[in-house]
Amino acid sequence: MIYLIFAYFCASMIGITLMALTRKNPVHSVLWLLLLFLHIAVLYLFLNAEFLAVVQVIVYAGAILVMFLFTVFLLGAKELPKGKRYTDLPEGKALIGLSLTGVFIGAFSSITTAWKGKYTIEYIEKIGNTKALGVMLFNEYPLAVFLLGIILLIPMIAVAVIAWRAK
Amino acid sequence: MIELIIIFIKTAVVFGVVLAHVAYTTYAERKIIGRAQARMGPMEVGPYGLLQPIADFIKIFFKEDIVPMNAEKVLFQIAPLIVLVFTMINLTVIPFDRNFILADLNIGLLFILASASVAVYGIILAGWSSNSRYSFLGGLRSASQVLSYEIALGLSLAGVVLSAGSLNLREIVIAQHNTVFGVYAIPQIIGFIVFVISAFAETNRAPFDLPEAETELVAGYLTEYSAFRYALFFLAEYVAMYIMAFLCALCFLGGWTIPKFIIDILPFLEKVPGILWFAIKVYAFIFLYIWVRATLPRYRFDQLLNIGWKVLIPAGIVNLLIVAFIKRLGL
Amino acid sequence: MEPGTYIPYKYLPVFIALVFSTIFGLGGLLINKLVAPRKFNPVKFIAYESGNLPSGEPKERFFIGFFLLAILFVVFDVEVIFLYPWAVAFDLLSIEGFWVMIIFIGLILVGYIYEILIGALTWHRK
Repeated sequence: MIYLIFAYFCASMIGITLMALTRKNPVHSVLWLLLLFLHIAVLYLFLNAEFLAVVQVIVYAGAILVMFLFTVFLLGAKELPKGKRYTDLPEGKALIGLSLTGVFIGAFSSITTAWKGKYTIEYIEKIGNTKALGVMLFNEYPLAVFLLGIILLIPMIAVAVIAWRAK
Repeated sequence: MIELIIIFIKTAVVFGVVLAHVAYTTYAERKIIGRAQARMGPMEVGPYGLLQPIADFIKIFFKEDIVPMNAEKVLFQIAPLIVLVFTMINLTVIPFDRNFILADLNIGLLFILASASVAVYGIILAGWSSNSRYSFLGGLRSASQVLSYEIALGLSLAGVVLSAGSLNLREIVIAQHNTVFGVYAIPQIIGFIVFVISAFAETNRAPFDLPEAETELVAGYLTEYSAFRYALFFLAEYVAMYIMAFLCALCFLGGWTIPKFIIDILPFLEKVPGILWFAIKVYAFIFLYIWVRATLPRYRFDQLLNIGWKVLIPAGIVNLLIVAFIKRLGL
Repeated sequence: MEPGTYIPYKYLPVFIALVFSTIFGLGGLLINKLVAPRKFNPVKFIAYESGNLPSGEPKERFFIGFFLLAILFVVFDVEVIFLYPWAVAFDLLSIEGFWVMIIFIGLILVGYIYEILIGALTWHRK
């Protein structure tokens, strides 16, 4: 049963990505990406990472992809001209093929098992996924949260600059 | 296998009950707004107009389905389905009673926020695929409104989650029952007000219904839709109203329980089944929706965004900080 | 449990509800297509602009304000998402866990007040 489900996900995610790459209308590409993100979120559920699944949908599919869509609207790109995309040239095809091969080799050769930490599987199952994530993130890595606050100030400055210049 | 059939039957029952409620909410709205304007609502069809929703429902199938000339056919047809599907799957995580819940997810509350985030795409696509300037602008305005108020919604619910310590909706109600006041609306009154205002704006209802107002941009992103597609959008809007009412009843008003201090005064109230209290709270919130629509004037678009960004976000953060400090200092 | 064999059975009703609502929507559309009249009149298919002819391509002059709103929405959405694990794990947090989030909210508030003073959150009527 689980093999059927994983077979569906493998086939569909590769298929959806290919559809997203080859559409002429950029809005259609963005919508295929939305479908891809929903599939990724369901795949996270199978890994027992339910908080990550909803974060994928809320932040990635629901906020960042809306920003992509607004960018596409802003640029007013209606259709990409045919024949001038780099994927139609032989150099483009070779580049994509080689980089994909490199990615796959890198992924399969770097699979190691992690060392055991102090949060055991029984502990995580007892208190739930979100609570364990919160406990670990805020107790062990407070500096990361602080740095993230600083990073989130950067788009605010960018928005302020664009708004101030547009006035 | 037998569990699968039970799940099917439960889902069908929940959907059927909620859709029947939605149909009769349209009737209740016309009656109540009519009375608020010193006239009777529908009185013709059936006794006191009670068969009006059925007549409307049958009529809508016989209307012609017009797809405009230059519209993108596929996206035009998918947009109402996206909004409807992602609004209706919220119904599976709502606990109607102590033991009646379709899918007892540990992240039930965030699941509702996630599907609200995806439903925005239906609105943007409806506006864009109609291939008309005013529909597109209406769709973008409506989507910006929903996005702005989603942050305020998330902040007000974060206060509830902090008090309850869990994202599971059933555990939130149980934790709520164990507090002094029994409802979260009293200690977190700011959060409750922020939630109610955001609920009005998220469902594109009055006084925030600028995209649907007939004098502005005709009907916004809905202009080019006719017959059953239009009905799908309105079905989705009323189901979203019910979802917000359910969330308010569960997170702020105590769900299927009544506060302990009321049970101490009148002990016979504990025998009443929980789903009746839940229904009363939900109906009260829906009545509030209709009452506000009949009473308040509409906001302009920039006033709308100002409220969402400049008033509700600071209020939500203040509410969260108050709850956090009170809980940390152990009061 | 062994790795790679977990099936989230709790989410099955969600999937069934998805299928039900899709069937409901498509079924209604199908009945509508079968039952409704179809009279062809070219005026019906033109985009509606209160009696005027359609005035141009819909993709002209995209207001920059929508784009800025989308960027600010991403920032605040990420912040709200970080609030949720903190809120759920509140009872088990240590001192630095609690205060780092207060500092995080403080940083976001600094950015927010800056945006209000610059005027990026005010929607200008163009």
